[in-house]
Amino acid sequence: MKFGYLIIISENAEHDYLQMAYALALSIKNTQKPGYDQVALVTNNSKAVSELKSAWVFDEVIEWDQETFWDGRSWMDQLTPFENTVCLDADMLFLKDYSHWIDYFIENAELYISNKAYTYRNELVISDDYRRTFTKNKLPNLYSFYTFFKKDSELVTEFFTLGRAIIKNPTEFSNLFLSEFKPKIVGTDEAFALAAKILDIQDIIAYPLEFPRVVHMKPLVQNWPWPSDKWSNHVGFYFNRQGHLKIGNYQQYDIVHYVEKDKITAETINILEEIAWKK
Amino acid sequence: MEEIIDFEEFLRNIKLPEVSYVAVFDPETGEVKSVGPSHAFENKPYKIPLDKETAELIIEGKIRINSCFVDITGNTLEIAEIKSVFKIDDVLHRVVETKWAEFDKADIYITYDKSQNTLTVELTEEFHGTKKLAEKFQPVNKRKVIWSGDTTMKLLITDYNDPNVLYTMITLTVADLVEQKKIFENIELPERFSIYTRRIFKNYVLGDL
Repeated sequence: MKFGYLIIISENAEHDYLQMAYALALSIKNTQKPGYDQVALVTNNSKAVSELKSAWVFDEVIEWDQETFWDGRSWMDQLTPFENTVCLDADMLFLKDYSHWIDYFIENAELYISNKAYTYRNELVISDDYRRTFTKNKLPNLYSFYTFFKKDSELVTEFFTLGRAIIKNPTEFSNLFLSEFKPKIVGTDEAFALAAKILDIQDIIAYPLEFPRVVHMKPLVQNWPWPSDKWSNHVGFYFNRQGHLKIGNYQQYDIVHYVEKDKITAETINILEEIAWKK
Repeated sequence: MEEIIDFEEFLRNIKLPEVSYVAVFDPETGEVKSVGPSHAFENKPYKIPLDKETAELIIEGKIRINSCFVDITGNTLEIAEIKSVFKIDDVLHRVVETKWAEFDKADIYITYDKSQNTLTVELTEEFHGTKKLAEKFQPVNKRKVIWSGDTTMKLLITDYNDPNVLYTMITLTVADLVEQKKIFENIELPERFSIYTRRIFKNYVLGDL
């Protein structure tokens, strides 16, 4: 398969990542053009997938349990069944056709990691709340929630191999390279940013582009004049029967990384399923 | 001849009336305004009984009064760190359809009859309304919350899951729902709509559309 989206999850007692991945896959099927709507799911419980009403939204389900939680995403290059892949976080929703971004990446990039995020009001996120490790240690501002890569690429292999080494040895890499501000946890974002810096490839894999555009709903980066634990304390999440989303009174057009895991309810799933069935 | 009372015996035998305590609260926010013996707040409409120990801790300042609020639906005093803002879900709460409700027991039931164009609002019997609760909740312990009958409820009827598109707004009071249901006529709505309201009660449901 030439191109597809990859979602990597593992079962978690606190959150239903399968439900989030299912919502994301449905939203991809509902909005993307044929040829740009393939989805592969990596999970440690493929049996649960078969119990979904429309498990067909996952074109491929890969059983894999070598890592848990977000560590699994650093294996995306090894797990993907696609020649060209965009690996996504599970807690995202597609709201319109973004196929033209893919055309660009396939044509022009071996590896591209998003390096900008937007608020729900379409403002560029400039706050470094949650990202002190990046600013203090002068890391490239990478967001792994949207990562494009080609399967057979030396650059890609080198990058992800180093990324995995960082995640496996967080203390050593933190002591050496993140001494100005050590993160509590070296997550995928930190590992990818540090790998890009060490390999000195940030200008190749994260050069300025107007896309991908992802609305990042971490509460402290919304340019509000007050602190907030949860964005949903301040603005509503309004998902209508057409699969259109408003956050507060702002219509959303970009990919929405909703962050709060309870946003995908049975009702939201039902809306997405009905759209998929009628398509 | 005047009897001289043995003062020490008087002190030993005296039985003071037991003081009951109350917390006076703001019915809109649940914020606790005052705590003290019940006789001091006889004229206050919004109050709940409070155990002596908690009341004394608040009066002595060991529990900050501004960290206390009343769970209006549960008729209990909660102690918590109050956030400086309301949650949007408290001021613009969506009434979910029964089939999507993630709770067992609602406090307010709303039903829409498309053939008659009527919208009916009912309070459950738990709050002295007309809506009978399911068998599993019987017998019902009626809540002791002291309501001001003129507490206003506004229902915003909007586009499906979009309070930005308002179809109509209806207003009623809690008194309208005590021992009776409130029926609004000539409410013409599309097949799909949503209802939003300020969250006075905890759980609201809309009969399946």
